[in-house]
Parts: sequence; C-alpha cells; structure tokens
Amino acid sequence: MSLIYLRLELKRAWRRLPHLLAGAIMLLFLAGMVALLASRMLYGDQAVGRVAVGVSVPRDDRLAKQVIKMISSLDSVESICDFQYMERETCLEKLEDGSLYAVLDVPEGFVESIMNGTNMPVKVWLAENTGPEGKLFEELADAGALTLSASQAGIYAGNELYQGLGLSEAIGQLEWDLNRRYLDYSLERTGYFRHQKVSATGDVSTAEFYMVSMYVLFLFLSAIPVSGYLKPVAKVTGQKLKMAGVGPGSRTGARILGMTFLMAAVTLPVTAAAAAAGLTEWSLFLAVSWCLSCLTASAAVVVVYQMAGGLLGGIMVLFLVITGQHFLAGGFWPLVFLPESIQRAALWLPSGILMNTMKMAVTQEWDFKSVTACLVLLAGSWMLGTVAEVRRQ
Amino acid sequence: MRQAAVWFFLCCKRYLKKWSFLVILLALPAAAGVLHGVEEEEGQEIRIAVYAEGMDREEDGQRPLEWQLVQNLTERDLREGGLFRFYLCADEEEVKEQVASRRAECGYGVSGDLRKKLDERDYRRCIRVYSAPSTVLAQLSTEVVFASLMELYDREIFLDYILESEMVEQAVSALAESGGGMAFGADQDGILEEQAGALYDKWMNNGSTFRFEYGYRDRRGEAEARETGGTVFPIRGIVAVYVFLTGLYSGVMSGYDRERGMFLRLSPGRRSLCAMAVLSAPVFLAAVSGFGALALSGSLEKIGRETAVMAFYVLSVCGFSGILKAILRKPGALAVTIPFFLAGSLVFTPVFVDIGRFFPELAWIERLFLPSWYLRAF
Repeated sequence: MSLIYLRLELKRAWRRLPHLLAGAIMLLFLAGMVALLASRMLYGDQAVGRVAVGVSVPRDDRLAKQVIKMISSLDSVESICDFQYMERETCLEKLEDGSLYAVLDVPEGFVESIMNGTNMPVKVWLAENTGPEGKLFEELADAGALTLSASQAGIYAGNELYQGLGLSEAIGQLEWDLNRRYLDYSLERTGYFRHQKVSATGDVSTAEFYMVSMYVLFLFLSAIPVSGYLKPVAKVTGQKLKMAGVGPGSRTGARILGMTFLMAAVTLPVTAAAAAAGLTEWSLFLAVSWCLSCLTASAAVVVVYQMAGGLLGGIMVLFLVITGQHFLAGGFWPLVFLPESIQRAALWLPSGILMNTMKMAVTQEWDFKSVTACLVLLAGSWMLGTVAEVRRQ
Repeated sequence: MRQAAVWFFLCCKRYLKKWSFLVILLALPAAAGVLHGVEEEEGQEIRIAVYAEGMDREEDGQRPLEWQLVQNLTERDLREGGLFRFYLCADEEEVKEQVASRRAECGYGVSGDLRKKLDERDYRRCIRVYSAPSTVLAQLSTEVVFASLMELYDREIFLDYILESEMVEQAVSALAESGGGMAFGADQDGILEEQAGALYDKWMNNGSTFRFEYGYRDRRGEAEARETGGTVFPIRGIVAVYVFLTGLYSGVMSGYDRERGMFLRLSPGRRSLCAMAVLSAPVFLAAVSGFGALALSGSLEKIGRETAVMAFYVLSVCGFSGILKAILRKPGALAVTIPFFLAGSLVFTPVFVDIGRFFPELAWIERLFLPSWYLRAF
C-alpha cells in the first residue's frame, strides 16, 4: 500500500514539474548575471571590482595632491582603490548616494602641518553600515598611517635633537637621508613576504566555495514554486490513509522522495552543465554528493512545511531557513567575518552540511564526516516530519 | 471601508490563532536578539597564527627583532580597535596546522636573525605567509604585519643614523667640553642613544604624527559624532526581504482564496477591497515581527521615522503584490516568480553587499526590487 501511495506522490510531484522548471529558469537567469558580474570582478578591467574612493584636496594645494597620488600609486592601495578627485561637497553627496565607498577629506594646510609637526589628521568618511569591509578599510588605512608616522617620528626626533645640538643647518640633510632610508625599506614591502599555500583536506578556493554555495541556495529556492505540493495532508485524508495502511512515517517518506524527484529533475541539467564546463567531473563523488544533497534538502524543506502547518507559515520559515542559516553557514559572507561561536556552529547548519557534502564533487575526495551529517540530517528531518504529522492527526 | 477593516482583523486573528504561525513571527526577533548578543559579546575578530624562530636567543643584550615583532602583533588586541587578532603558536608546524584546519585565517612564520637581515638589506622573503585555498585576507594582513615591523625597525634606523653621524659625534663632544645643552658623560654613545630613543618615543606617542580620523555618514547626510561601524548581520536587509516575500506569497494565498470562492458573497465593489485587506494582513504581521527584530538587534533609529517608512513599505508591497496578481491571474504563476524576486532582492539590493559600489553602471537594477527602496531610506 505504501508503494502505491509513493507512486501517487510521485505522480502529484510530476504535475508540479512545469512550475518548478519555470522558477528554475528565472533563477538560472539570475545566476548567470551573478556569474557574469563575478567573472568581471575577477578578470575584467582595472576599474571593476575596485572600490571608488573620493578625495577632496583643498584648491591649489598641489603638494597635498601629490602626496595623495603617491599613496594611491602603492601596489596594495592601487589594487583595491580607485581614487577620484573632486570637491568636498560632491564627494560627500556621492558617498551618501552610494557612488563612492569612502571619502578622504584632506584639510587645508595638510602638507605644511606635516612639515611643522602638527600633523592635522585626514578625515576618512565611510557610509554607515558598511559592515566588515568598512573595518577592513580602517585596518588597511591605519597600517599605512602607522608606517608613515613611524618614519615621521624619526624625522621630528632628529629635528629636535639637531636643534638641541646646534646643528640646525644640517636638518635638511638629516631629513633627506632619513627619508631615503625609510623609503628604501618601505617601497619594496611585498618582497618581505613569501606566500605558501597550505593544503587542507576538503578545502576549496573562494570561487569554488561560492559556486557550491549558489548551488545549495538554488536547491532551497527551487522549493518555493512548488510549495503547493508541500501543503500538509488534510486531517481526514490522513485518517483514511492510516486506515489503508499508510501511516505518518510512510506519508512523510513519500513526500520527501517526491520532493527529491523534483529537485533532482531541476538540478540534473545544472550538474551536467557544471561537469561540461569542467567545474566537476562525472564520478562516484559527484553522484553521491548530488543524490545526498537533493535528498537532504528535500527532507529539510518538507519538515519545515510540516512543522509550519500551512503554506504561508511554511514559506516564511523557509525564507528564514534559506537566508538566515545560509548566511550563518558562510554562504554569503566568508565565515571569517562571523563571531567564533557561529563559525563553529556553521558546520552543523543544514546549508553548512550540504555545502561540505557538495565540496566532494569539487575536490573528488571523500568527506565521510559530511556524508554522515547529511544522513543524520535526513533521518532527523524524516523523524521530525513524522512527529509533526502525528500531532496534526 | 469598515467591512475591509473587519476582514483585515479577522484575517489577522485567523493567522494568530495558529500557534505555529505565532512561533514563526517570534522566531525572527528572537534570532536577531540572540545574534546581536553574540556579536556584542564576542566582537568581530579574524584569527591569525604567528611564530618566530629562535625563541630563547638574545642579540647583544636585547630581544631579537623577530620576537619583538611577534609580541607587537599579539599585543595588538589589547589596544583599542583592530579586526585582526594575532596569536602565538608553539612552532611553525602548528601555524600550518591552524591554517589548514581553518582555525586561523592565515599564518606567519618569521625568520630568525631578522635584525641582521634588515641591516644587511637581505630581507627578501624573510617572512613566510601561510594561507589555505579559501583564505581571503592574507594579502591585507601583510600590510598590518609590515606596519608593525616598521614601527619597531624605523626607530633602529633613526638611532643607527644618529650614532653613525660624525657631525653629531663632534657636536656632542663639543657640547660635553663646553658643559652646555644635553649632559653627556663618559658613555657618550650610550647616553646619546638613550636620549635620541626617548625623543623618538616621545614623537611616536604624543599624537603629533600622521593619522586618520574616521567618521560615518548615513543616507541623510547626518554625521555621527562617534564612530559607528556596521554590524555583520544584515538584519534590516533580511527584514525588508522577509516582508516583501510575505507580501508576494500572500498574493498567492489570496489568489487561491479567490478560486475557492471566499469573496463570492461580497458585492463586486467590495470584493477587491476585502481581497486587498486579506492580502495585507500577513504582511502587516510580518512587518510587526520585523520591527521587533530591528528593535532587539539595536538597529532601530528614530521610532517615528521607522514606523512611517515601514508603513509606507508595507503599503507598497501590498500594492505591488496586488498588481502582479492581477497581471499574472493564476496564483501558481505568481508563485513561480517568487524565487526570482527573492534571489534578485538578496543579490542586487544592499542586503549583504551594495553591488552599485563595485559596478556603478548596474546600480539601477536594484530599483526593480522593492526592498531596495526601503533600505535606501536609511
């Protein structure tokens, strides 16, 4: 009897397939746009992917402009920032409307203040709620300021020492010599470091990670167009089915398999395209991770709707599950920016488990921990769904 | 109007009677409160492992430069601010292991004899940087490490220059003989080094050297007197998309209700008004839930302005959903468009990243998604 019910569920799922495919096509269109933007960011021309920084320098202060141009030509700054020179008010307007990421507001008499030791600070304006990238910008700017101030301290200390020793006429030579020495050590800063990659089992590059993240997000989002399929069974129908030998466990299991069929139908072309593009290869790793991801995502989605008790509640919870826990699993922002306790918990969130499982298809290595976590999530979702079904009856 | 209001309240009551729906409404504010608490308690820090060779060495009575560098880096977190937290490892293998297991974002191994290498200008590749395939911040962290190194070594460059200068030596001797100016005794070099070092430290720490000051401006151009950085959790963005999604799906539900004949007993004139009232009820409830999430996460600004903007946003979402429902007619067709609007809102509106800052020519796309209009109001 359970097999007959399963066949009926699959037939019911089949009728939703056109809705799912239509939704998936729209999602793929968006995914294509995102991929295009990402590739422009990685491989495009120089201005793309760099943050636009407005610079406001007092009129006719050519020296200040030269100093800023020197800073902007440093390799580390040039690779990240695109300096644009304009009036202060224009800078601030563009910052507020989002055209600029930050504004360097150079005060009047800036260079003179460096020379006479008063050192008026340069104001950096950032947009509110810039998030982690704002703090990173501050770190980078403060590091540059520290390097500059360390050499300034030498110049000023030398000035004071020479004046105390009656060597005022030699101060110019002191400044020239010290500046040359400091620049010698500072200009070749990248040469100090030797970069080495450390191999980490199951770890993938940032680009590969975000492709896996988009795939998992696509899996969850594809459940929305077919949410009608996930509507919990009516009480009377449930009682009749139970009398016919189809209990809540079988109903939940059949629902999960039906949803799995839908997800598999829509992700198979996506997986085939990824294999054709060389992002993965046809292998046992791909087959296992693809099957597990469809099964587990389906189970998670089914249990969300079972516990929500209705379509609207289900969609609201599904949204929180999709965005909230996907974000906390590092699906949108790199995990490194999240608090440490959340980073540790990320491995156990549904998106985290699914992303780690899908990494097997990229790395072509077994990750038994993730496979086990997937199976536990699958079993747990089935049990929770069954309990919710029993409680409704 | 009165009938529409009655339908609105009855619809709200229908949803609130289900305990599961009530739990869902409370879930977002509760989660926002918990996450805000975690962020406040732990702050935001990026762990970087460090190690330097030759722990127990001494160099001419002073600590090796590589160990001063490591100490300078690991004590950074005791000073105010700083995103990077450097911590000491027992050896270089542990640094690699920390990076490989992703307990550290990246790691540094500093060569021994760093001072000698810098003095002889043989410093190329003297600091090893270890990163994993998924590391994103190694390059940026090198700037912080370099700045810490220069903070220490620039002092030595200055002292070496002063001590090597014949002009200074002659001036000091002349002063010592005349008994004027600074007091120099038998250990001329030692005292000169001490006094020059003290002058350097004074200028380094008296706030007279170059620095940046940071300020934040919001969309209305108001500057905060105190620095306020952003939180990593995009609560406002999630609330905006949450209300938008609820509005769209409420349109789907309203379509199914119409197909079931829920509004048949009403006169045609009142049918649309009551259908809109039914559509707006869950949107209103989601907005209240979102408001609670903003309050518990500390993201609420002026309450009057927030209420007005949210009310206008709710009306816009209801209107948009109603229009889309009227165009597409079938509730199933409306449901198909939801992933597109949801994914588009998450990607193109400034929920997680402001795409317009990196691709100004594409900034117009966000205007197609309603959450953008709400987010840009703050």
